[in-house]
Amino acid sequence: VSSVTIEAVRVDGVGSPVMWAGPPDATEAVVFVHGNPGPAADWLGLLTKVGEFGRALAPDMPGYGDADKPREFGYTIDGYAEHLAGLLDSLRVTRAHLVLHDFGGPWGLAWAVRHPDRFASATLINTGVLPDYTWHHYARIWRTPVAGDLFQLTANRAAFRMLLGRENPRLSRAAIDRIYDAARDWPTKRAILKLYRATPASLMRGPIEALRELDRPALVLWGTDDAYLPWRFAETQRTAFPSARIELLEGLGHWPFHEDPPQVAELVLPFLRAQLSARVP
Amino acid sequence: MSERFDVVVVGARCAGATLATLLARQGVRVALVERVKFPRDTLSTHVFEAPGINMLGRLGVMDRVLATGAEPIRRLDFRQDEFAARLELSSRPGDIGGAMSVRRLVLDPILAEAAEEAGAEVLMETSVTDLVRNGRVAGVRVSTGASEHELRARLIVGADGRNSTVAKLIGARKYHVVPSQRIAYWGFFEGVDREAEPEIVFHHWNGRVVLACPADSGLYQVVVVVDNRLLPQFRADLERAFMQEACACAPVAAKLTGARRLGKLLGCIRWESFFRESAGPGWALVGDAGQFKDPTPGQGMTDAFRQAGALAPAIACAIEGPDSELDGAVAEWARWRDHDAFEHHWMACDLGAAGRGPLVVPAMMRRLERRGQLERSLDLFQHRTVPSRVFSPPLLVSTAATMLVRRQCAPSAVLRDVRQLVMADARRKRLRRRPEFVDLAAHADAGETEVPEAVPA
Repeated sequence: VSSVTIEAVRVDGVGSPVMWAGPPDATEAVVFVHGNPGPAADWLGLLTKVGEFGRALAPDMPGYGDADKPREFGYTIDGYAEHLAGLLDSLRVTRAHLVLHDFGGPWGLAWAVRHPDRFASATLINTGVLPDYTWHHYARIWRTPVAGDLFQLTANRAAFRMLLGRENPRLSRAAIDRIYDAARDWPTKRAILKLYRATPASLMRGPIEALRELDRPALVLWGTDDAYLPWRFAETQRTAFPSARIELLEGLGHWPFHEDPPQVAELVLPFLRAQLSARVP
Repeated sequence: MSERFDVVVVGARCAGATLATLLARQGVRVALVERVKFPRDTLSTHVFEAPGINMLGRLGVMDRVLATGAEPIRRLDFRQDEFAARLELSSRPGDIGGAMSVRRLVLDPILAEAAEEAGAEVLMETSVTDLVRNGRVAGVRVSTGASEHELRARLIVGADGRNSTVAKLIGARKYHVVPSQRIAYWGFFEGVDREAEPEIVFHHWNGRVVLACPADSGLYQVVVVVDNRLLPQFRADLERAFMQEACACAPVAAKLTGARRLGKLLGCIRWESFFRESAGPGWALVGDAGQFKDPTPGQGMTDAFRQAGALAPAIACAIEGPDSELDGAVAEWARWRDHDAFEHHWMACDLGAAGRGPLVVPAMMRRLERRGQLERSLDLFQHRTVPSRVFSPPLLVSTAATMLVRRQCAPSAVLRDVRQLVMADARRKRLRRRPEFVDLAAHADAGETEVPEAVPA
């Protein structure tokens, strides 16, 4: 079993600790990008296993986990994509296999089309390009002035357990608590409000044409009981990744890697192993 | 003699073999204990739906199952009293079909073989005689032929069916218990023409259900579910009574012309639908052992596959941890199981209830059809949605209102139906919060399965 290290990394003055495993000098790496609220710890199980055969990185993105949460950061898809670019520069990654979840999807794919020479493959877990998406109910609340702030101010553990428990019956109580704890402090809550308010649903469409042009290898996993990003979008990923392999995960929700870690690992690890050993064109 | 495992799974059929395979694949040391020697028949509707079919893919046995001649079925000939339709079974990308029927004589050995290949220790013809306890359940005592020994494990899983030995030894209490109001008989026929597009027939009308579909090996399966009152007729002349009921369903009558039956007619009478407490220190119950539902909608096998699929990761992720973590993970799975099975249990009871169904139900289905939502609503039979989402309160109210305004039937009958549905729903909501447990001492095991002890393979 590979060991996991957490390294302090700064991009333009914003601290963004990176959890890593595997050979630190490899320029080819599997890059795990968490969503809202993440953070990098979401990936701990997969990261350790990938570390056994390659370099694996998972940053806490600004606003989340142990990353800095400055008021003035650009909490937008572009802002995060730029941050990811700076992060991968400073970590000297020249060939990245992205593993994306939730909002990590739009961030990572925005980075990908701007760095096609460095973007090697995509593993999309309940995320990807989302044409004609309408925001889920929490996003609609967050995007509403005053109501969103009040919601964030008054959210408490008991209510969170009840709501998330109802929407994610396969998620354990411990996992729900971890999600709550990840989105608990005010700077994170503020980052969530800023991000969702800066992102109209139309922006979730993503750079479909540019991605289709690249036609990178992709593995798409999607829990069929996702209450926020419906499984119907799984098939949509083919518009951006014509060669994608798509797997619907029966009965799993928005966090398949928490709900059924072995099943996700069984699908993701062989794919990444094949990508890492593929000949660089 | 005593052997040590991480998990002992008792029962090597849909729930047990699936669980053992998924666990063994994760490096968990599993013993899979089965009382009989396969192939051996068991009480079953034999039909299972897309989530179960997809599990066969995950288990890596799809090729073997398809090689038996079992066909994925995508079309449904449906009748609910005065509402009839031929429908495309709902499907998702990746589904190869919406239903499939494989005789358990054929399917169960394939599942047990997969468990063995995954690395589980499979012990056939081994019965559990007692539990080993040390403050928690710590193992089972088993007998194989003349020898007795102990299998010790962190967790004992009873996947041994509705009359579960493990459940009895533990003393797991039953709740949401509903006695059956119908009897079910089924048979397999050869010499039935195969269609290019295989179809499953599900007709529920005039208080009876006929379910039929192509099965493995070129066979055609027919199940009839009729009122308890007809039991004397079935006892007096089984052949005649069965064929009379089966052939009351026109498409089945057409199929059975010139067909020959293979093997005996099997039956099940006086069963009860129930939940059992399904998790405790060192033990769990999965599949029919933990929740047996009326066989009419044919969801028992699918649920066994689904439940095993959900229990495996809970165990695999906690097996390295302390007892408290393992017990906690299994208890959480059992809470999910209760939540997951609740509405479908009552739907199965409603479908299995004697007499004809409520008048508003066919009317609601017509309304769904007009809205273009009927095929989507078939997700219900795939256990991919819940009844309260398909037959929602607004749909009930608007349908009943229309029936009253148009005077399609006696207003009093419509109102009585609506009142009964609403009251049943209120009672179930109450039971969900506060289940009524059955006193074990006063409660004898119900159910007789008219499955002969040994059926030729």
